[in-house]
Amino acid sequence: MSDLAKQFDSSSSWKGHLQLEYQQRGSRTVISRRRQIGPLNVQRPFYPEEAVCHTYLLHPPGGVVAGDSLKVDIKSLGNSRALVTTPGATKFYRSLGKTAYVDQQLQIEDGAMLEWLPQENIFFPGSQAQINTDIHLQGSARCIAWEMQCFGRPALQERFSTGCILGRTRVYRDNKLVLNERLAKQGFDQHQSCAGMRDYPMLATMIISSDDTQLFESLNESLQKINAGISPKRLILGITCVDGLIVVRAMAVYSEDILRAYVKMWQITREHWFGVIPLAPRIWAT
Amino acid sequence: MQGTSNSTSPKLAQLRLFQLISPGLPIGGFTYSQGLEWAVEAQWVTSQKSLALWLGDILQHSLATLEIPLLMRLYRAVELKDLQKISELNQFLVASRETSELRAEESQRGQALARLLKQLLPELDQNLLKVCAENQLAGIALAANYWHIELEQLCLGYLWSWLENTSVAGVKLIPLGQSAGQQILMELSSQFEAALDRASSISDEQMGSFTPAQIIASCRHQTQYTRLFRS
Repeated sequence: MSDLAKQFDSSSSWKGHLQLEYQQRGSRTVISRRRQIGPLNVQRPFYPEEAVCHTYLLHPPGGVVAGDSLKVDIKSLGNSRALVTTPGATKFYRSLGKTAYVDQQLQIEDGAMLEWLPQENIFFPGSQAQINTDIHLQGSARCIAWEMQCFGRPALQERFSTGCILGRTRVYRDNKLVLNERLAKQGFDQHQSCAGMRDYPMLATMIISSDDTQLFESLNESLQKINAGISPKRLILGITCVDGLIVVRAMAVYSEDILRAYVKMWQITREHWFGVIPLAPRIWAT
Repeated sequence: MQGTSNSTSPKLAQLRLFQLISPGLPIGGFTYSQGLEWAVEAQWVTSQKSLALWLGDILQHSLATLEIPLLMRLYRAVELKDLQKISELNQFLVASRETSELRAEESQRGQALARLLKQLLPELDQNLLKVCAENQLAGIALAANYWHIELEQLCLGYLWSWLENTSVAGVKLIPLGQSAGQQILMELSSQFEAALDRASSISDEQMGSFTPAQIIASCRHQTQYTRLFRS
């Protein structure tokens, strides 16, 4: 279906629910359980770095329309290691009134690692969505998660002048809430120009489950270099460490700039954890 | 007298509120800029106009959606002496503060206020005081309950103290003249009523702040070369 047709077709909304469970079998992590209702799906996992199960999350309808309701549940068990990403951006089309719901639940057990690294969400002008993400970390669970939001279509000079995207991301460590982030982007909002998103169309958050001082210093050093090498009008990054989490936030004009910075942070963290710098999934190269 | 209440007349309650939000007390926020110091250096805030915008954004997307809704809930929890609920709300506040500096500020100001309350009101319930020492909002809710300060008055007072503290920080940092500072107080305080209405309608699910530039500024402040403020 063409973009234009999609925009006006809100009559046929999708209800999708995907459940995945990762488990360690021998030297590999496998998808030990998969349950799927509706259009959300995964490609056959592959192993470019042997120990880590790479998984592409697919959403064949090509975008999210008003009234859609999509739920992803991922559970990482035991000593499993998985990386989940998407082959492209997820588009949220213009709504004539209804809201699209996205609910993402990530549970990572003691000893397991889950990397939730999807490509960006693109919210077309006039889109309406509610996006909730909960991350549950148990014990020594490792997690790297990012979410990149693009409001409007900057390449086409289309600003997010109408629409409403609400969301929250919550991180729990051993069932205790340690981070609560709110997203409240409204097209007509007069109160975003200075302490809000300013003129940046993109906003992103990356969460790393670590409070290691040495890792924080390496990430901070790399981040300062990136900040120094690019105009703050194009990309601006900030890093902090709160209650066992390192959080890297970004605002930008182009998704590529954020992705490049985040891939660097991901590689530094992986090297710190396992001593090997991973190659970025090929699908991220644009 | 044990507990959270005593016999305060409405007039005295009002005076207690003035005392509670007075910048003369150690709980005053004059040493915290909440990211504004970096925002001035980055030239995001350079004038009376941009300072008013900065504060207006934070009023709408943080004070009205996080601090005031939490203050309302903490006030009721203190009234009921519901220690479990107060702890839960405290944890929610910490989790909703996105940077280490903002979290440190909550805890430092909470402890300073609790120390003061312990001296002023030795009769306060010690268990309640202990759980209310975790952040400033809980301490304020406790003192306000004790002094019979009405919730709406308390919320307005809290908004005023936030505005006064951050405007003074801005006036000092940019810098601006006294009359520009006064104009900002006039302009922003006229938005308080709407902010309170908004705060009353925020659900538990929606509570949180959305001030991304302030948060990045607060991250960057941590490594800013010269700093006058602690946040």
